[in-house]
Amino acid sequence: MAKVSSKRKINRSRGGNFAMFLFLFIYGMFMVLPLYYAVISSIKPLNELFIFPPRFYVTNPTISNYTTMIRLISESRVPFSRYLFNSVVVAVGGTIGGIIVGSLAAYPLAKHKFTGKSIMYNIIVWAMMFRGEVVSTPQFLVVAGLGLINTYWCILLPSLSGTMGVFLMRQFIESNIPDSIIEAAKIDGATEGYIFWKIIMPNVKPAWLTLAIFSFTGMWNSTGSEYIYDEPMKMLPTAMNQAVSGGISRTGAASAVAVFMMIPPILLFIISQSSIMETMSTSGLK
Amino acid sequence: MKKARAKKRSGLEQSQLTSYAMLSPWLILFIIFGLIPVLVAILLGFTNYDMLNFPKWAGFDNYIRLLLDDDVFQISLKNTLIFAVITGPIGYLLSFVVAWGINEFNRTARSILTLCFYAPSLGGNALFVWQYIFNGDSYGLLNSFLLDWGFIDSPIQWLTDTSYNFGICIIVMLWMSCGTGFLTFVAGLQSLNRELAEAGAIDGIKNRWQELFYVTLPQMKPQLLFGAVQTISSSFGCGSICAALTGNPSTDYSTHTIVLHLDDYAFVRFELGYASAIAVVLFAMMLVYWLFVNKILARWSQD
Repeated sequence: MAKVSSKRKINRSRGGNFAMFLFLFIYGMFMVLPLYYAVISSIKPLNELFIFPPRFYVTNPTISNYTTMIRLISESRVPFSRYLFNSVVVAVGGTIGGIIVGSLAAYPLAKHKFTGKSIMYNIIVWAMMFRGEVVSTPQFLVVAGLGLINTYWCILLPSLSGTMGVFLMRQFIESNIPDSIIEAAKIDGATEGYIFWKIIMPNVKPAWLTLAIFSFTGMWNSTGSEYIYDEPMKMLPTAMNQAVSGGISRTGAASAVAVFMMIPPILLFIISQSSIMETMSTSGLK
Repeated sequence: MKKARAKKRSGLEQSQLTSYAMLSPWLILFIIFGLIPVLVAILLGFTNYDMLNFPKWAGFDNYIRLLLDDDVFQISLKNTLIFAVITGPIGYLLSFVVAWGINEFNRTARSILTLCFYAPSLGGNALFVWQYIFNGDSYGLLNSFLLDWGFIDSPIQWLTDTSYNFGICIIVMLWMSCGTGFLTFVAGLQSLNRELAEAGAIDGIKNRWQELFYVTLPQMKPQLLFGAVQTISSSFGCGSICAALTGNPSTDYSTHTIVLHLDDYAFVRFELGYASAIAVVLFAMMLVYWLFVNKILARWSQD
């Protein structure tokens, strides 16, 4: 017993730990149960989907909902794989591009001295609010005016112009990279490019992995439905929503869509979480 | 030639040029897709524009019509304010408390818990589950249980009945509240200086709440501000959740928001001048709210 209490962290009472655990458990159930229900529904055969009252388990799991999903989507002359390709191009391109463009801008904002730096930082913070649905209508006018309708660019470019990545990277670079390292590298004759790629980027890996999760999730789920009318250029979420919007009879396929769309972001999250932990434990960044 | 060389030799000049060069890819994109749309909206707000004919100057007509004559705008303004002032802050607080609680666990447990709470925000399609939970016929999950247990005799139209559908939108929004801000909180809490908490304990901090207010929060200012910006942006910008759940337009516009009103005038009615005026009012509200939130957070996390 004595061992347990000495192991306990400072400033933590047992009652408080229990209350916190209870809160996390109840709120966690609220978060996870609907997702569990989606997963369960996606592997239920048709006769189990419409049992009254509904069950929270499945007796004869099947993948037929997933094959139905692919069949329904491919019914519109464009194959499933093309929609998938579109979304992968936009998600991967947007993520990698976003990290590079954002970090390139973040480094001088964090560590250089130049005219207009503080104004630019303030603009970034203010502009961070104006993203997504809030600006989609005015943005549409510009995208249409530039003739980018029905191209990948109409989703990629507005996303690369976002300020969230710049802000996140700037915060991490400023607080995690000591000025002395950069000065030492400059004295040794390192170019700004070398400093950026070989010193800054490897040391802020947790930051850009976090950013990768945000932008991949955003891009993977982006429908671009305002900008893309051409069937072969449509994104996977749009095609999926078109295919399964058939009401209650498509419950199984719609569940399969929801589960399928969540798998890539979750995989990326798991992969980068372990890397974040690794970086934190090995490099001891504070 | 000589001048150019002299310029190159002076360290400051060169560093300024490199700074701008590194900034430029993002800055150019930001000007085109971030700044210009806002300026265009401000300009078009004073015109009548249908995308076919050249915009016609209309002065403050759009704003007068919007603020005095548009009953649906009044509803969407009220709903958006409720989402922004009540739902947003509750979600923000909950996601911070969750991140703070998760931080007590070991690495593996922390990663799994982070994923569980973040998962609802991962997939845009995931919120469809709520349509089945609140489905209006007896196959809807909630209805079927209430019928089975005998609480109700006939199914309730959760998503179209105006006495329920707004509350359901709030529930689903809270379900999706552990998003970007939440992950930043988790990352921020992990990089806290542990020694400060120990030093605080020696200096007389007795419990987790004191540690939170005197040691943890003051170190979290960047993450807290970032989370606040995300919350403001998503709660003022909410609309797609309401539209997906309760239909667009919802019964009597009961869950209509400013963004849905904006989309309606822009993409359905093609009254882009009027839509731009709506956008400008939305921007102004967000800026005022941000100044207010900024002031509160600055007071909290000072020293």
